[in-house]
Amino acid sequence: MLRHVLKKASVVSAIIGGVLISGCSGGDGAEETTSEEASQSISVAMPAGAESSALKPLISEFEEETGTTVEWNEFDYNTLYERILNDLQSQAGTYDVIFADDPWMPMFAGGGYLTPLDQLGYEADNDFIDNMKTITHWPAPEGPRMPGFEEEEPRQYGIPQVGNVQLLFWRKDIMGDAPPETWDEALAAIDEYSGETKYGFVPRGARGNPVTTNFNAFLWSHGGDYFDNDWNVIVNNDNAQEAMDTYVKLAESAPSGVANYGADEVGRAMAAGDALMAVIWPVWAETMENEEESEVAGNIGYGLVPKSKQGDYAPQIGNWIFAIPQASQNKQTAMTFIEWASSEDIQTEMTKNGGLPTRESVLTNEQLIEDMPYLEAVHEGLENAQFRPRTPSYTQIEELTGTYLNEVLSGSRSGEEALNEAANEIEALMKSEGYYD
Amino acid sequence: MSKESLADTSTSSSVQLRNNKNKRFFKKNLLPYWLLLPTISILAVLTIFPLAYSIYVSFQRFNTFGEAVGFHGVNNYADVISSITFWNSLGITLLYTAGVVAVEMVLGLALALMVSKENKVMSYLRWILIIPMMLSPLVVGIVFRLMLNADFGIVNYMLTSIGLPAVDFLGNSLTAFLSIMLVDVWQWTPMCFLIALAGLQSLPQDPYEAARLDGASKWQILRDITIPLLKPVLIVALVIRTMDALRMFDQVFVLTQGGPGRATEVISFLMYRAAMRFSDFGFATAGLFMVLVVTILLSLIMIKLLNRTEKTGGY
Repeated sequence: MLRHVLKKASVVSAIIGGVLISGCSGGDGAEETTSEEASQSISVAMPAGAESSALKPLISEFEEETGTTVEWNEFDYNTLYERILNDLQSQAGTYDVIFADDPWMPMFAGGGYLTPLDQLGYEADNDFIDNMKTITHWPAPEGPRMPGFEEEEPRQYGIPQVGNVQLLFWRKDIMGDAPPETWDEALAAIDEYSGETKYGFVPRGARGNPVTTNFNAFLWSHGGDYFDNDWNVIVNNDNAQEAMDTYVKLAESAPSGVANYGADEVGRAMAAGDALMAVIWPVWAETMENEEESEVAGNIGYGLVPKSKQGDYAPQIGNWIFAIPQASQNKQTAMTFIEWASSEDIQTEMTKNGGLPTRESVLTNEQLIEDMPYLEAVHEGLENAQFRPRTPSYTQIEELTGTYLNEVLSGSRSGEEALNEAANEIEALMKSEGYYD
Repeated sequence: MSKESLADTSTSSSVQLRNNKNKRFFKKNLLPYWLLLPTISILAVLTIFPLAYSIYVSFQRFNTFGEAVGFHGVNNYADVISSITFWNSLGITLLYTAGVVAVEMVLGLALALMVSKENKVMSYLRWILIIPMMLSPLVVGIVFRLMLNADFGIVNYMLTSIGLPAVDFLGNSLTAFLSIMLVDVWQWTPMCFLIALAGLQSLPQDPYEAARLDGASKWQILRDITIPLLKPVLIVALVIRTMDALRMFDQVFVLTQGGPGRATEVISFLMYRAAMRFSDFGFATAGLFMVLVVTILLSLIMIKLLNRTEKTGGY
């Protein structure tokens, strides 16, 4: 009896042990089942929302043309970053194609986690706007370079697919067809049309990425920046303080809960007809023009984000880029997919679905411009746009700055103090990362 | 057969007998270990190894790209101790824990006393009261985020419709902190309620009958009989809720992302950010081990309190 029980116990233990061991060493098995020839299937990591919804309906065409199955995975912004980074760092190869926001590229490409596209036979295409080509390269072809990468030749690691750039949305039925050219004109318009709408300017004030992204348009258009060419922190210099003053003045006409406003809340306030103007991503234009979702369809103007008296137009670029992880087992199929998705034909179809193209030929397509009232502004915006510092530490810089900016909007810190505190913390961070050695 | 060979034979047979006995004894005593092996294997893989590995990680240095680049000694711990944000988060976490646990315990006990009587209405009410606990914390967070929205939320709509001013629930440091506490209280009071109710229903009836005969008031019965008898059960609820509240994450993730500023940045959220967004795994694990120490200390104090209560006479 005892022997029988012992025998059974050992069999059960062996099975459980086997399952655990096979679970721990699942890499080899996974390699076999995901080998390129066998599966003809690729897994894509996408952000949930308008950035991916314009392309998603076209995927079946690719599947029919190539016989490849596309597994489409959508995540919210923060989760997408974490999923991708985790996958890249662990070399798991879960995703064959990733869709990366442009400030993530230094982290992903600089860490050696992405496949240089020339390795897969890709040749640079001049139809993409220059700014966008720059942000797909690592090390950064322009501006200061991360220590340790000074001598490396820049290589392209991704193809820009969504030509996001900040635009000014304004109520043209109230303010007229011409947008304010400068921030002073914007402030004057808010005074002049006070009472016409519930709020004047609606900032995207939530902590972290939202508020920093919103503020960047002010910072750069006032001639400010985060770093000079030697990575010295200048985010609290006179130009930056002036940008902060403008931001705070505009925020006086904002809703009370603005310190918790993300892109959705700003878009909704604009679409509900509550706001006179806001700096918004153009993917929201489709919602504005949709009579079922918007109270102001046909009444919104789309133009360049204003500049300061002494500065230039400098909206922030927010491109989404297709890239292929080093650990992918289906690199060639992934390459075929991203070349297909970024082709002129597919970008044209994607634009008709409310997407934002990155190709000059699509951005200047007359029929599309006629149908999409915001496309011309997007094109103009992309040509004037500025990109965020090309350092893998930007996510942390954005978080630090965004915490203090958020405190300014919630009224618990002055603008000057916030920029000084942010500058101190960014300097300490860059020092610990070896930028001043 | 010679005497020697006989002696040899008897020795070898006694050795064999002893061996067989040992074998049986060994087999008999090994059985519990064989039976425990699956559990131990699972624990080793899923709990012990990750825990040991995270101790190792807490002594490693990580570069910008999240790669371990060598031994860092106790520097991660030193960084945590010297970090103002860590102490800020720890303070917020402790304040939050003390607040929510106190309110949940009082409300949970009050509700349990209210529905402890056996009748049909009360039995339905009991079911309704535990519904919040069954929902996913993320879903609860999203619902409250919509309800508490300063401009579109139903709470402000109701406040303004009765002439009260709208409140910026999530955009102001104090109201945001109170809002995440409110969500926790809404969701987890049912747990305290359930534990207190189970305790109430198993209390002996004799002391109550004696008290009633002696003419004790309801308040006296509650103060002098119910609460002292329920003490051990309440301390169990206190320990469970304290440990839960100390590692709270979901509400902050959905409702405020730690903002405005750092007003609701509880320790789990701070360390999650350090690890998952900034790839600073050394700092994050070191910080979480320090929180573990705080949690263990608090739990030990409460368990000691429980033991003392039992010694001095629970029920």
